[in-house]
Amino acid sequence: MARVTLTDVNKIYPSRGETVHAVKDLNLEIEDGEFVALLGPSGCGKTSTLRMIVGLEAITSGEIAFDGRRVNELDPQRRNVAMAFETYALYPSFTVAENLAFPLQVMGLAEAERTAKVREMAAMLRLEDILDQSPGALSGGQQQRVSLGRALIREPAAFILDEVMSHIDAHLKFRMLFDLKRIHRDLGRTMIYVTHDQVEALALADRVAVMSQAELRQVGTRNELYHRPADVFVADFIGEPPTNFFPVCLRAAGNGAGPARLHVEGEDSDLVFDLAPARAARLRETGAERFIAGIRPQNLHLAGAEANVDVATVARWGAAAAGAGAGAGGAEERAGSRTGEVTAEVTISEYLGERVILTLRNGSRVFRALASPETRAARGERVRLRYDPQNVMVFSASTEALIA
Amino acid sequence: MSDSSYRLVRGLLLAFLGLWLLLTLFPFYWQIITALKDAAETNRTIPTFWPEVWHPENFKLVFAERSNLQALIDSFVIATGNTLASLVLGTLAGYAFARFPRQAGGENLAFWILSNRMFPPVAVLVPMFFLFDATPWGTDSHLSLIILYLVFNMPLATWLMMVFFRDAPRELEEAAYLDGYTPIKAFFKVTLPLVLPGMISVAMLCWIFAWNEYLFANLFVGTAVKTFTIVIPTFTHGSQTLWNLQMAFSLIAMLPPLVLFIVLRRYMVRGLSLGVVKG
Amino acid sequence: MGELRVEGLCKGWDFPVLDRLDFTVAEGEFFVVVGPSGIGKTTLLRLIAGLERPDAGRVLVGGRDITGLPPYRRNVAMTFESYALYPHLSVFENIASPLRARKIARAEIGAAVRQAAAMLRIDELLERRPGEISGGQKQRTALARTLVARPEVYLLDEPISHLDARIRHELRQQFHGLEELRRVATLYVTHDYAEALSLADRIGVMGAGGLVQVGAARDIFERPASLFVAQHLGQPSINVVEAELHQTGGDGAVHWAATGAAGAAGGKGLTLPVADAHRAALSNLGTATVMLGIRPQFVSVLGNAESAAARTGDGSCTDVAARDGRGTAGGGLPVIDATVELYEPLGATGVLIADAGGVPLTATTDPDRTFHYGERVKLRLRPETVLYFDARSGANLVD
Repeated sequence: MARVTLTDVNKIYPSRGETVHAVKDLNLEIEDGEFVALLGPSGCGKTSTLRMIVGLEAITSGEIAFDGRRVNELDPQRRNVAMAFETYALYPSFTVAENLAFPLQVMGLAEAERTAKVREMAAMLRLEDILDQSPGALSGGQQQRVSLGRALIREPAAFILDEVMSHIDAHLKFRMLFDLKRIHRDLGRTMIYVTHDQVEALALADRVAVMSQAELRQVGTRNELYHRPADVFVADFIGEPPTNFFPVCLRAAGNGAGPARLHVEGEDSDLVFDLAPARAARLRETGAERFIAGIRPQNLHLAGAEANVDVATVARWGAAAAGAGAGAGGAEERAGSRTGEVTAEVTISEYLGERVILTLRNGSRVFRALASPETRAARGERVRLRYDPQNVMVFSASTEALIA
Repeated sequence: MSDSSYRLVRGLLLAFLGLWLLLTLFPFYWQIITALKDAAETNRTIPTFWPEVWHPENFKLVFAERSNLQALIDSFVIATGNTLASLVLGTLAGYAFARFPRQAGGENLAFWILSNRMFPPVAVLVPMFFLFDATPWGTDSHLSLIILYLVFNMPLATWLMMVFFRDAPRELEEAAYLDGYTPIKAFFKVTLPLVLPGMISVAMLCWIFAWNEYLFANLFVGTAVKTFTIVIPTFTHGSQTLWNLQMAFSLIAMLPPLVLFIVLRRYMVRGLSLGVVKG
Repeated sequence: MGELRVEGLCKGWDFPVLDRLDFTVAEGEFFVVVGPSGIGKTTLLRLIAGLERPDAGRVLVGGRDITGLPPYRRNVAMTFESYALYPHLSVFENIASPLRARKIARAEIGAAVRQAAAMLRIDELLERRPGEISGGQKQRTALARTLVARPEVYLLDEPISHLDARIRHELRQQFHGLEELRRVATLYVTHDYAEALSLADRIGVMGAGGLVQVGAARDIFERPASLFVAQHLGQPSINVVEAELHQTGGDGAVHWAATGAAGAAGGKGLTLPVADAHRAALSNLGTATVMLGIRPQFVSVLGNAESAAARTGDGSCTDVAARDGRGTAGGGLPVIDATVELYEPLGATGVLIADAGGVPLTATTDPDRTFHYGERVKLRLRPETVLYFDARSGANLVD
């Protein structure tokens, strides 16, 4: 059991005469038994962070503590953490059972105890039928499960999982995600999961730590990251398809107070987003005039002829296209504001089975919206899109931080 | 681990490494100071660890005999000639084994070729002498040693090149075919550049073997052609060995491989980092 | 120039991979072959490219038999799953490679390479080596190399499967914009159904031995010819439920009933009516065992808020009720009681696995909703969205 605390952690690598600042002033507290994902694009510093936690990399400055005890100077094997790697790294000459038992053998456990634990782990990971096979005969997903099992079987204080699913086929991934989540629930131990895949991170973790360019951008639950992204980077990185961003200019609809409108910049574009009064006030407080507006594709809904289909989808599909009806709090707020509307021309209509991604153009501005698969909007068609002003995110144009 | 015991282990490790370094470097040190002494000083019962009088002219003296310089040139010709021949044959054979194992005779033939490297050379010393003696160019020629050393170098080159070719992705060649290159052009455009770092390493191994070889050279050549290895023991004065000249000459003979290594190391290192993708 | 035609193509090693495969890709058509990994998609491309020899059958381009030609005489361009970029050459030289092979004038090569690079937004990288660029950039370089060749046939092997979801999305759009690929016959293989649905003029779904269904994206997804096709397309995968068909009463109504694997554990099973539209096709089966395919997005989860809204007649939900009312006689849809087994809120959807009377059902939901293990929920199925497959052959019984 372990609470993992990172305090002002820095990592600086010397590289060809220069230095690379791989991790900058990282502060992160992982509660005992918590499942935290480190998420970020490649080169964001998440792997360096992980390697420092495990002890494979020296800490340039700052402190890493397990249960309040500083571990900076401890060797990896003395930190009582187990790690599973992106590559499976199984011993090819051992059977699955022997691979699983190996860490226990190293610990000097008696044979009977080893067998019991291997059996327990095999049951948890659905490996019972292949215990006698050699790793070479297994599929990628099975190998990955064995590799996980070998990390888990030692029952260390914390588990570190490094991109363990990046080599697993998409349709097997779902099953693995569920397995891993169940294992975490059963074992109740601290887990740190490193990945560049937001679906994995959001599905697995209690909290997700988003990193970019060596810095921690935001730590939060799925809903926090999704609805209150700290900055443009997080808003862009979390969500698929990515959030639409527009450079906008704030103009009041009436005089001074009251609702405000965000005019998208660009002479050939007539996109305007409405803003609730409360948020408009927050924007005015900044004194700035230019902002970055963001709206997720799932929060733009086809209106007009398509409307019935779309609303039906909200209830019947209960899925992706349903953004506007989100959350109980959202519903309450929604009651006070009316729906906004924009128009655009369809440039690509991508049918994906469960949904349609529309790529739209208004003047030189290109953005995307999600629609139900029944949508027949074709290339070149002009469509109207409705949105809930609550779902328009506004960021500072200079710092890119969320304002409202 | 506590701090003090950590320091102790570290200290012991450093002491051991220091000792190891001393053991490795001492022969070189001895060679250099011997080359700079005069003959009398090298034969003292109590050896001196620093020359009493410096004799850098030893390095000039070894070339008083004109043929000694020629021996270095002969060695160079033989080593280079053999290296080129080993590389050409080894590359072609290695490619065949890597890409068309069935047509090329399979793993067994490849292993048989490598196994040629395993028998003790002395066993074939005399038969080889008679064999080469029957050729038009005889034993005492550059060509005889160039061909003879193939017995040792070609299996090595073939085997290593086979491994390098296996590591070079076949898909790259296929991509070249689809670009419109014939197999031969694709080989030169894509495959060969990929194994070039490997080839350079193989070339160095072959060259150094041929440069250093003594046993066969001593029997085969000596009149028309001399290699530097058979010249070294000739630095004597009556029954007295002229250690200083021997050491000076061997130091000079060490220079070509050293230069070769320094020049080619760049390419070897580049080869190792080629295709490394940051994760 | 012309269509790509494959006739009776056979290839096998220890076991048959392709068995008498026939299909045609018209000139200008973007044809996508989708199938699980290891099913022989790459083998098919390699046979067309000339990198493998077929055991039997012919490959024709524009009516010309090219089966006996070596790859370098075929005028076919291919991208490899691994990209197969030459690591020792710059991005520029990689792209220029097919032109150099044809001994095209230097100035012309420079212009063509720069044009392709600009189109794919890699013109800043021309001096770099493949080892120094990102995965997406490598993919674009490989694509540029095939595009400059301006061949008679494009073969694209999983070009974007190994990239992040984000970049995949971007590159899918890029493929939509490349007119060059719509000029000649293009054959694109992938294991990702979303890519296939998004890009293809026509899709061929590959199963063991060959193509099991060929058709437009909507046909394939909405009217799969077999259970295999239905299972391969869709994320999360389609629910497959074994059920019994029963004729009830004299009005020709048909019901299905599923007991589920957990039937022994006290589950009471599921019984639902068959939609009018399906009745004709199914009624002559009498009492029969079938496999039902129910897409997770067609299983709506009525949480507290939503079911309450439906009762009180909130604006948006009355629309639903009205629309749904058309589907069933007597109004109102059957509501199923279920227990939450597992719930994952992903980025754009939430995935719920619930136990409905012993039958496990996966549903997709709004990701902002939360469900807890053991919670009781109500599920609603629309009978007309259910697919019926033969229990043994897996063939679609309705379409």
